[in-house]
Amino acid sequence: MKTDHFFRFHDFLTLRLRDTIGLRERLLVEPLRGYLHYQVPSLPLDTLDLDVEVGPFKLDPPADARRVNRQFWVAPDYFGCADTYKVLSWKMEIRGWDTGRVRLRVEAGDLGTVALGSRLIDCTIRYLLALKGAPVVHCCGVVIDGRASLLSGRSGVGKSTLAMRMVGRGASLLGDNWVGVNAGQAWSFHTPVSVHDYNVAPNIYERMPAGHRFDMWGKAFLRRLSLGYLKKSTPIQLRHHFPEIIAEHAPLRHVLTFSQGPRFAIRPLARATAIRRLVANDMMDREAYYRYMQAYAAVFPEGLVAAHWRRLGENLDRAFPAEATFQDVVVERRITPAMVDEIHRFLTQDGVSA
Amino acid sequence: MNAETILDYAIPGLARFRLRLAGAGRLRAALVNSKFAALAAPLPPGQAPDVEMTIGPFTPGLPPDCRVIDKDFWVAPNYLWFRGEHGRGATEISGLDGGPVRLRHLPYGESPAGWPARGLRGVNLYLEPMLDWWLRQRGARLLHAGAVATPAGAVLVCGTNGAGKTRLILEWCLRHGGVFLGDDLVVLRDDGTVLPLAEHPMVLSLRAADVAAGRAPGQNRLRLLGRLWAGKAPVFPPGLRFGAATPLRGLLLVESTPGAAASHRLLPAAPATLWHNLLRLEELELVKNQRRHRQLGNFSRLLMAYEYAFPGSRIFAALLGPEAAPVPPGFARLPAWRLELGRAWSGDIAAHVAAEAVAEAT
Repeated sequence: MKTDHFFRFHDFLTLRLRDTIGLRERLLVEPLRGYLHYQVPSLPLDTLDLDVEVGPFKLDPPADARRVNRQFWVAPDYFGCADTYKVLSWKMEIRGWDTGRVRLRVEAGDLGTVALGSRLIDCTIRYLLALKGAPVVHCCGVVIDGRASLLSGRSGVGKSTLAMRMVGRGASLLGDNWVGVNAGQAWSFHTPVSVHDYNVAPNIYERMPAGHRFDMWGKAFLRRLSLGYLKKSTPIQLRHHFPEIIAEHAPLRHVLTFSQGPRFAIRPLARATAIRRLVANDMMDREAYYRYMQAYAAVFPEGLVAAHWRRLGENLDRAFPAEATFQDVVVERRITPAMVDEIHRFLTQDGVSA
Repeated sequence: MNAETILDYAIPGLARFRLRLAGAGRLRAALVNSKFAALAAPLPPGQAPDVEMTIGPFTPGLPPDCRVIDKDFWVAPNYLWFRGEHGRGATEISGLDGGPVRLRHLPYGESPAGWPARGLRGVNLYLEPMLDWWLRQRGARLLHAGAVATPAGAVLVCGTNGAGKTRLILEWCLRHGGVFLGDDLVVLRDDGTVLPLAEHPMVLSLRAADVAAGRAPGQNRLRLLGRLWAGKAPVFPPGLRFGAATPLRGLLLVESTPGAAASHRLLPAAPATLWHNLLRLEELELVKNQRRHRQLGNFSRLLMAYEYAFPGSRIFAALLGPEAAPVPPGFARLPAWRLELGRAWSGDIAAHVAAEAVAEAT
């Protein structure tokens, strides 16, 4: 079974996802679930930026490919590898890192489907968007009074929880995990919103379909049963259930970078420092993909891949407007209502002008 | 079983470092010691080591204002502590901003408690890059590369794991007149001098014996443990000579290309490109074992977490940052080659070709 799906991320990137996977994987995780918000009926094939094929294939390195670290194959504009992590395994082959028109093939081993979305396709999309000058920031984006604020931080720090609280107070959402920035504007990147029973905003919860509630209860039960080890979120497609909280783009005003510490605080951060922090955050997100890029850069140190992190910093600097403010926010381990109030006040009173 | 084994080493003129092993048996102490055995040097009384790593259980001395990054990393200025998966292991590092480096490391549940190699991985993952950081602040660097001294000067042999560095270097030294400086780690001073570092001399002796007998160098795990247990000193084949500090006069990148070249192909290369190849390979070393160590915080993740907490940190810029390291002065004039090794490469012939090329160019 072969199906083609097309996606367009604003005017920045076009994607075709061709999947030839079997029913079993499809039941585990739908590969295109993360991008449904950007689906379009069709696109001209000759202008595609990214062509992804998910399904079985044979690794076929060119004759002049070099082996790096025993397991990676690197040739001009080619990278291939078979990799594993814990019980997951996958194969991938990528052409076009150095030209900007990328063709990616991925095959999941047993249970590997869950790895595909976040590790390989997402990372490639983010690589290409950074290349095109519309870098993606790992953050929750909220729009309050027509202006966008990015809540950035490592996973688990409370970004989504805070964003959900802001939505509960009338903000709209640009993205739960990523937001693009380009020419002073924040651009939406809507993936399904991940909610847990402990961070779902009351107004979202009231309108959640029964199936989603059941899913959330089941996962909360699983989490308690495993003493917090199995922490699974419930994905909600906003377009279907909450169309009114969706924002597509807005002028960027505040960038808040979060970390956990003993005492709650909001302190201004220098622009250059904040950008360095966002780049470090982006590096930490890549995991396996980071190694692939490093292996390719080791062979071609003068190519586009080797310059990626420096370019990302430069592009972020170019994309943020001059009037954007940057904050270092320390939150305590549990997000209290007082902290939510304080952050909401900061965002609505337009930060420094308060 | 000793209560604590203390092992002292020195890189002459640059660093004195110490390993402390808690509750290690004879074999484990011998195996951990074997990594840097060639550098063994007692610490003068009254002097503290520059870099010290303690392997065994410990209680972290968390500063009060720690930030938590990524759930696992507790970070404060000059300080980092993280737990392994489910708290089974932990590592504490101070000296990230400069000053003496102190590491404490509880090995993870990757190997059983009495396993001889327990703790050695921590030495590779954490002590090695921190030693590199110490050297960077003192006008030198620890490079993941080999080196051979020729009559004209030292040739740096770089390449990724498994590319064939060791085999090429040993063939070169045993049959084609090279003098051994290192096969996995060497120290390069900023003035362009290569300092020798025979890492794992016992492993090296077994591999050299393989090459002398006309075989590819093997893993020799059981033979290694046997010799360490018996307390034997490494015996090197006659003909393997060890060199002293030598000025750098050439660069050779070894690449494994099983599909293209049937045996080998020597190509001229741009020295600046080769220098960047080498730096990127170094970075790839920092993310090694990521597959197993993602949860445990391999060194690259640790540096990223530190950079996240304190953007613009010097250690991140020096070891991993996106700023391209400048090509050292004098490098642009060095002769440089890329040696592609195909599926059926012969160590003897490849070493001959490399030695000839170096002799001709210098």
